[in-house]
Amino acid sequence: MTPPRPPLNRRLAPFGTTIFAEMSALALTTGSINLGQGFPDTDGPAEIAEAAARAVREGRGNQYPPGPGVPELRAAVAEHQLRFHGLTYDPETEVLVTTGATEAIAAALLALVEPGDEVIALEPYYDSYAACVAMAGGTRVPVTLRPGGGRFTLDLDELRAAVTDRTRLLLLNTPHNPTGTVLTRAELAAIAELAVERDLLVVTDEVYEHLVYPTTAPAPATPPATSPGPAVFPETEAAGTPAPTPAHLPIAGFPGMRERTLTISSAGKSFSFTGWKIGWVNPDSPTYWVMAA
Amino acid sequence: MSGRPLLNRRLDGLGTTIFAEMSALATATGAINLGQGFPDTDGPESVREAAVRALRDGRGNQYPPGPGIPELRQAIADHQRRFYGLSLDPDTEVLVTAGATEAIAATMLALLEPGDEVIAFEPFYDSYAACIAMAGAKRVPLTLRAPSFRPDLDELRSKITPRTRLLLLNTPHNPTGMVLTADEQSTIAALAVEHDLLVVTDEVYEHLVFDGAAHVPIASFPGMRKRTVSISSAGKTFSFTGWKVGWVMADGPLVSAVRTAKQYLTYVSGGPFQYAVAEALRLPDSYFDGFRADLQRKRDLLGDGLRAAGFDVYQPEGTYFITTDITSFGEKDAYAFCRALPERCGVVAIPNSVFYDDPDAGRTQVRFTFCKKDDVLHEATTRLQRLSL
Repeated sequence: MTPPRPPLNRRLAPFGTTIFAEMSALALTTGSINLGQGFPDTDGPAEIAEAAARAVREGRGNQYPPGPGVPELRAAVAEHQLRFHGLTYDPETEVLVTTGATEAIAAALLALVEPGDEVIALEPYYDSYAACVAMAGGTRVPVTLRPGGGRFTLDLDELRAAVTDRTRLLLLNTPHNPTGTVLTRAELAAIAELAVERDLLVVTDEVYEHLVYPTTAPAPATPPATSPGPAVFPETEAAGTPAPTPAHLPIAGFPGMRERTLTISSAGKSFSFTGWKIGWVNPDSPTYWVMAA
Repeated sequence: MSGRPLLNRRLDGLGTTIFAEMSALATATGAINLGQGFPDTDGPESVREAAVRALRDGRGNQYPPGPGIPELRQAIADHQRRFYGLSLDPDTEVLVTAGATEAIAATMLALLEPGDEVIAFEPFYDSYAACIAMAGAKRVPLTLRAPSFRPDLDELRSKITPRTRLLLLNTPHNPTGMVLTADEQSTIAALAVEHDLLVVTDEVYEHLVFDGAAHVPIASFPGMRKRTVSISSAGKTFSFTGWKVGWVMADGPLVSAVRTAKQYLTYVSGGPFQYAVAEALRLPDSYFDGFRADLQRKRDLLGDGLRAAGFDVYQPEGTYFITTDITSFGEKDAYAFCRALPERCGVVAIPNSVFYDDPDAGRTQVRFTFCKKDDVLHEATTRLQRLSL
């Protein structure tokens, strides 16, 4: 009677329950303070909640919105990219609204990766990356961020060595969850150069784009490997002096990158409404290449 | 960029959905859009206000629990007991998803191995084919043929092979409006048990079965509880298709497998709307009866208008849709007909041929939705009269 096979397929077998589900359940049963999962306990601005309430009341968005997202949001995403990052995207063909960044990542990987492709991702990685690479039948190749100099550092030689003829794409995440590392201009330039040289696609998860902090604390002379400090940008900043406000730099803005980069972000983290799950992708036109999922 | 195409081979040919194409045509021409199935009138005000309250009270504005908020899971379990006498454990046998679409995607991506075969009714909703392809599996169509669109169950039996992993059902069926009878479901259930198959059933139109007939979930048949994944959603039943709140109901191990894929597709979604749907599912019977009666009336209104305009109408037993045949106009190709229709008379419809692997089987079929205001349906059928002039 029971099917001989387990219900879950082999690709997903290692991905049972997320650590977040497990730890949040533990928080509930023990009454602990939950500093595990990254969602705010205070909602974002009241006027944004009211904008949502108004849309519901006025019947805007209560029925299927257009597949790529409502034009108003696509235009706003394009304006945001221009305003904060100087990047120009056509709201008609280069902005796609998704169910949070999670769906954007899943759709990008399911659309772009063939079975057997290799996907290079920064390790430690957000758990959905590994699962989505597996669902697409790809192989994930981790490049480990290691503590050093007060931050988790990407070894660019290691990254270069990880690229093979099977490498389809680099999956970046900056600002990086969980380490808080923000890739510097020099690091991004080197990654971009590598992507162009090896003709790789780059998928970049930038949901923390508005959470990059200045550092005013003196950098420890010999940083303990286990306590990374906040990201320093630029990395040449002298220890002990206040750094200028650092910036998030989208890799799509580097030479040769626009046409090979999918930039993913979302509203959840920037506006403290994680439960709404509104995300977006900025690919080069045409957008439809990630729409299938 | 040199080298290979961006889209992978599995999704090749599934680029743009027919709905995107036809809706763009509707926008460009100002035609009445009877193509895509979403209502032009929102659902109950009390449900809408429940969403507003949740937004304002800060319920669901942050990540809801991965399986869905407990209130909604309980309401889904209560709904299944109230309408079908099925009992579900809301903690282990219910999973909330981003609409039925995500439920289907997660189910396929969880349960299928590359090389598995999936038998599905044809014509099929386009996401079925894409999700089966993403999972690396092969779809095996069982063609529903006009005029009755009833499945040939001997043919179904003959299509089962040792590679068949699951049967993908959809009743009430989009686009044909066919509703599986209890006898048919009983036979399908027996086949599933005999061949030890999983059954995935898309029942989003469960409350739109007309003429006094009833929707019967296949999960209620002997031997089916442990092998069935039932999928439904709030969009069609409560006329809030934009909220995308759906759910999966199955035995614990199956839900757990589907959840594994689901948590990496969207993680969670629709926080405040989950609270509103929990209230909607508890609406009194008068809501469900009134909604069904209203849509049955609209079916008849559109059906009469289409007949008067010269279409051959296949009377649907359920759903939002009427399938017609255009041979009576001397037309031979539904796709060409639908592309020309906005220019000819200002109406958009969907060619069923795109929902078939065997395009000949649906070559002359065109689908119209009737989930629109009465005056829109009147105006559309008035415009369609021009076809016979």
